[in-house]
Amino acid sequence: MERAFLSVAVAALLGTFAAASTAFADETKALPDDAKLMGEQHSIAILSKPHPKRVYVLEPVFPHIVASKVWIIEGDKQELVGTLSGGYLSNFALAPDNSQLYLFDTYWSKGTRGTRSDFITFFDGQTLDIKADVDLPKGRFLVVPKKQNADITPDGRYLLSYNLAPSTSVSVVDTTERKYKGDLEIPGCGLIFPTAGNRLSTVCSDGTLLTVKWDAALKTTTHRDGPFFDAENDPVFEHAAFDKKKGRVHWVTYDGNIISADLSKDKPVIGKPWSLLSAEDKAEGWRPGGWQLITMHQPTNRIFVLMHKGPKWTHKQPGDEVWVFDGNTGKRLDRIHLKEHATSLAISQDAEPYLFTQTEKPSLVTYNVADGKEVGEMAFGISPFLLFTAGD
Amino acid sequence: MVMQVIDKLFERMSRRTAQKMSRRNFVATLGAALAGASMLPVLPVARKAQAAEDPGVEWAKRVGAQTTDPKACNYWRYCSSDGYLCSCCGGGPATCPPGSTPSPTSWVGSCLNPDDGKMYLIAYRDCCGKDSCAQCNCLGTAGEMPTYRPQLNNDIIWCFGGSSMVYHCSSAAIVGQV
Amino acid sequence: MTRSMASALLAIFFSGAAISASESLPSADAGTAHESVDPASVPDVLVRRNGTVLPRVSGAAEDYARHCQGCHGHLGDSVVEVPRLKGRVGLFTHSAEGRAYIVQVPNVLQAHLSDARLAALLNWMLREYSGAELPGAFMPYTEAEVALARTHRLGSVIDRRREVIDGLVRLGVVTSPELFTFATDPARY
Repeated sequence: MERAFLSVAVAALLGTFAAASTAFADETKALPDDAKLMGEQHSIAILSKPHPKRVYVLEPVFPHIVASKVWIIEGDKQELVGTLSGGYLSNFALAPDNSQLYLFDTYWSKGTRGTRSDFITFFDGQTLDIKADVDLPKGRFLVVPKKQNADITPDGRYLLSYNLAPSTSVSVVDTTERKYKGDLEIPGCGLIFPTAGNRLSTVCSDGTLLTVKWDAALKTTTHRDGPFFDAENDPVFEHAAFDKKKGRVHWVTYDGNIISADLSKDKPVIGKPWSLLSAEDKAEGWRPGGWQLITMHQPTNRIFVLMHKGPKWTHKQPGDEVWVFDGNTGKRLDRIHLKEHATSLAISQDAEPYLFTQTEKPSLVTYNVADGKEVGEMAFGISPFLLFTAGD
Repeated sequence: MVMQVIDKLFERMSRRTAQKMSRRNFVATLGAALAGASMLPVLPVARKAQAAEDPGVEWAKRVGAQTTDPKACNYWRYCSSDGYLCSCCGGGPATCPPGSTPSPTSWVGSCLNPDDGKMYLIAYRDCCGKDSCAQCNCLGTAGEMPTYRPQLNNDIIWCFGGSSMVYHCSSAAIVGQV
Repeated sequence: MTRSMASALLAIFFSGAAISASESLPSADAGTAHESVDPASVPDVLVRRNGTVLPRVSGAAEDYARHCQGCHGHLGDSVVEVPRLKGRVGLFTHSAEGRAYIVQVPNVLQAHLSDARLAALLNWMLREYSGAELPGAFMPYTEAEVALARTHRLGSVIDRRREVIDGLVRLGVVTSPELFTFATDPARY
């Protein structure tokens, strides 16, 4: 490409393409003699320090599913400042201080075929330079990405990647040693909620909650809480409002019940379910739905849920409104009417939070939580799916 | 005759909308069209009491499920199908497009056949081994469960045992009548 | 996936008319007569065009189809990553530990089926796919046995499976654990 371009330029300068290249040749000739070989020197941009209103948008790029992407957006300025390119159905995680970014990834040696390799790529959070690739010898679960399929412990020490092969386990990678440490078995369970440097909870197919603690040799001790939801008739969504540092989680069910839990100790404390919906809401047909449909403003324990009107089994239908609840009292605080229905949402964890919503257009529409007013809309990508913010 | 014309229109519309619009719009459009033409499909009474509670029943009514056009999102077998229809990619609901391979594994759901009112078990398996087909994106979620219940989840790449785990398109083979 | 399995599947998927091959996943076993459904009675463009004969499934066979078949296959034999049922699973019932183990496999223990239905499903599955390997005096699972086995959850399925298989070798049920190997290396798929 570069070579071809040069030869065209040379040809133009020699005047052999007189007609076709007149403008180009004239412009070149117009330069002062001593400037001809100078021009701009390329530099490489570096991201500013991470801040709460930066949004990382993971896109599986469905029409070209072997080439995932992360878009890095300044949510306060509606500006794209960088991207990461990944492989097949990548998952993404951020170091707690955002100094590093991680892609859990899968590639084949010949694109769609050949030898499969699974690994985690470590990126510097500001230069986006690749710092390491750490192999995942057990592979990884290949599914349309969900946040809790891969995560990082709240201290930033271990990356955790779910496997279904078909026995279910979690691969553990040490971020300081940059090494795969082994797998933790979580029989019959899925989703990873890490709540300490050596502890995670996981949701099981019968509605129980398994909490697994591991030691330096990955020997585990487990605790199981009896069914805390009806996994046959009213399952909890895979995305939850989760604050890993405080060990606080609010799960939401298909029918709009919230189950809050304190996972900060080895034995979780699971609260009684409460409903997002009043009798009137139910009569109107409201229910939660979407992909990443719930999030939490961690400093204030406020819950944000995408809501739509629809019958049961419309659990992936995008939301027309975001309902805001006090996570302590269950009281509804606000209803934010979305100008464009959304599949996923995230929130900045600062004192004056912005709400980021992913629409199907696709676009990222940002709202100010204080007044529900739109801050801006940005269109990018083909099928962006998951939103991550600092501390989220 | 009138019904035939309407049927044709309906078929063409559902095929076109299936290809160009998100499912949400697709459903809304269908609903509006159906209400306007007052031709809500009348489903035969479900054979079993169990069938009435099956998630596939509500879906079939809502989208106006049909049994003749496998290239449309509302083809009756797709009540829990997620992704690009193999029917639009050179294959069929039980045929992989040339050069792709079916996974021997699947998840098994059930859909209501709107014309006989019976439930059928459907094996949702992917055709695999080449990049995603990118035609006729449809999303059915009847009875679909989170991945901690993998036997009932349609986000998982059902390519285990395929030529590679790369997803090409979604198929829906009938396993049996219940 | 074995080569023969692959070609059988390919045959199923690619035979017949251009738009759609026969989709009849054959009834679970020639030895078990599933009622078949007349293609002309199935209102579906492809079933009628191809004359596909579908099985009618009910009871334990339907529970197997809905809960197990996706991974284990309608023939009890699927991809290399999934332990084979066909010609094998009956061997587990030769020991008390093995009888309990096949109830305690997480996707069995945690299945959304009552103890009675699960017992019926296990009995059907064992006879359907591994009748020849059952002990001469095979006692079918009862609701009570399943209920009891379900009270104990496995910490490590992988370790327990190995212990149970080693036990079958010690009992002389099988001569070598190799019969039970299956690929657990996901790099294979």
